[in-house]
Amino acid sequence: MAESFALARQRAFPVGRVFRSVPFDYLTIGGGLSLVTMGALWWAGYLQVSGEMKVPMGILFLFFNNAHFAASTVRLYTKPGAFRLWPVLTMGVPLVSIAVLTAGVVWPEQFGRYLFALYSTWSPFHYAAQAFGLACMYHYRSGGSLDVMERRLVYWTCMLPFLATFIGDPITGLGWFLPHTVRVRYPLLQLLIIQLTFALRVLTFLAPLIVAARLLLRGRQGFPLISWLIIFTNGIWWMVLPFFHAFLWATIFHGLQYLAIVTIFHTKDQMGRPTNRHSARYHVLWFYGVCVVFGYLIFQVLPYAYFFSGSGMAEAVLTTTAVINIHHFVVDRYIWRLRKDPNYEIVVSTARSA
Amino acid sequence: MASIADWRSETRPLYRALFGLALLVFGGSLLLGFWASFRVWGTPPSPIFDPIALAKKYFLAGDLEGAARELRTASLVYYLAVDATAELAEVYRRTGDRDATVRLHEARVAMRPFEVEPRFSLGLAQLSAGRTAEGTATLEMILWSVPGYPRIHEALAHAYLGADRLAEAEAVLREGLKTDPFSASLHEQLAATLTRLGNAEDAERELARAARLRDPSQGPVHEVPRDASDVRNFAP
Repeated sequence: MAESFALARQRAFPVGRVFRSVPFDYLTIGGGLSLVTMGALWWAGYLQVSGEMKVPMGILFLFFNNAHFAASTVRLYTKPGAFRLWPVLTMGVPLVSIAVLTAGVVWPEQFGRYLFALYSTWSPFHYAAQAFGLACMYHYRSGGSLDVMERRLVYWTCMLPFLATFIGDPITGLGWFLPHTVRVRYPLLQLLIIQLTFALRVLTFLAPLIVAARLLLRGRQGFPLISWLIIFTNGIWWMVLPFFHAFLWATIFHGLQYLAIVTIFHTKDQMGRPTNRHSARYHVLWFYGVCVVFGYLIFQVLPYAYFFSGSGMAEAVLTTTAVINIHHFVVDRYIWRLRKDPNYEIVVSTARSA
Repeated sequence: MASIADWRSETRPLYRALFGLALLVFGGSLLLGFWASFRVWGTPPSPIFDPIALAKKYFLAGDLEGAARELRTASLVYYLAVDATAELAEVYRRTGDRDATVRLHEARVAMRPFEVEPRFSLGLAQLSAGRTAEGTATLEMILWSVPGYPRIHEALAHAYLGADRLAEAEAVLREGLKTDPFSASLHEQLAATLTRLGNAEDAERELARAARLRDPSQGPVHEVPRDASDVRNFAP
């Protein structure tokens, strides 16, 4: 009886097959570390609603946030066969990005501001999509499957924090098209937005329970716990923290999550090459090192070129940030495809060492 | 990593040319960026840029145009918007562009409609711009929705006095004194109002109270806070 109960529990809420080790995957990719860190910061009074940031954000940004944006580009150009598969993305888009960036810096009020609005609207969607991708990845890796309806349910569950941010945030998303000055003229609309946002926030934490219960009742293999952790963590980042802190902390821990998984994929790719002569540790350190240096160059150095050319620092830095983000979002759409891609082999492979 | 030979064999010349051009521009920009940073700051670029801090540097150096340029862009960005707009409003106030100051404070109120300070700053900006009726209405609305801010009573009384609405000025000052009976400036302003109303006896009494309460280090008697930095930290 006890054995069958344990088996049923294992099937309903499996730990999941991890890439590296349970603590590593749960803390970094699962986002567990973010919850522990944010809890500690909250307890220490560093996450006040209107308080100033007292944590050395510059260092955290350099090693996690900036490096993670660079990681998608480094991954793109080191992925075997990328030039052949995506010639426009790899060789055409860089020049287009530079042109768009320059246009944004030259016309910050006419054009640059919309790049920033696009980036800040797209960000929560990108995080939600990453949560969905990672959650499904662990499920498939653990031997699970999803039918069309289940996949849709999980997808929209992951999208709830994005929808709440899109509707509720006063400046991004809906706020981009309906600015404060318009909203304050229509109190009923404002009330509707507030209520809808609240409902979506509540749903963010209820929906996963409903999906889990549905899988359980239909006798399907449940999502591994790490998948739920990923989904809940993204919800907590966006729904519990004030927007400004969410934007800062979510980017850091999303960056850590991203760096961990992309390094695993890069290392497995490189170790699988017939000409490989290096250890896994070498590939990990090489990849991360290149990401930190490249992140520093694009975020910290590049804006100075525009500053020197006569623009203000604000438009140079902010437009650069926006264009790098948008480029990152676009690149991610390609490099994380699973279907008909060698990525899928890595997801379902049994090897646990990265 | 794919070798250069693989890359050449796998890709078309046009794409390679575009990519080469992008690399050239990108590499040149980085070199220029390093050079510019050393030239301007004497150091390599450092992590985290704060446009508001940079604008304040310009501001303190008397370069209002430079400060305004940084803040204009920062005010378009979500998490910097409120602070940057306040600072930008202050820059415009100092340059004497009263209408721009009012517009920026209106934007701040739209961003934070339930906070008192942006509404107070808007009221003051409207009064400074000569839009007395609007400024008075803004301040009246604050007192109507969130009473208990003596400095708003004071500012509103100042506006009433400017419009010769003496009885209303007296009423609002007396209301303010209920909230803060130890405010020397309220007593003084009330004394001035009573004098204009012809009530010399009460005016004398109010002045005597004010003299007892006044701390000599507090500055001029009738000064009304005129900029956001003055009122940002005021408390009821």
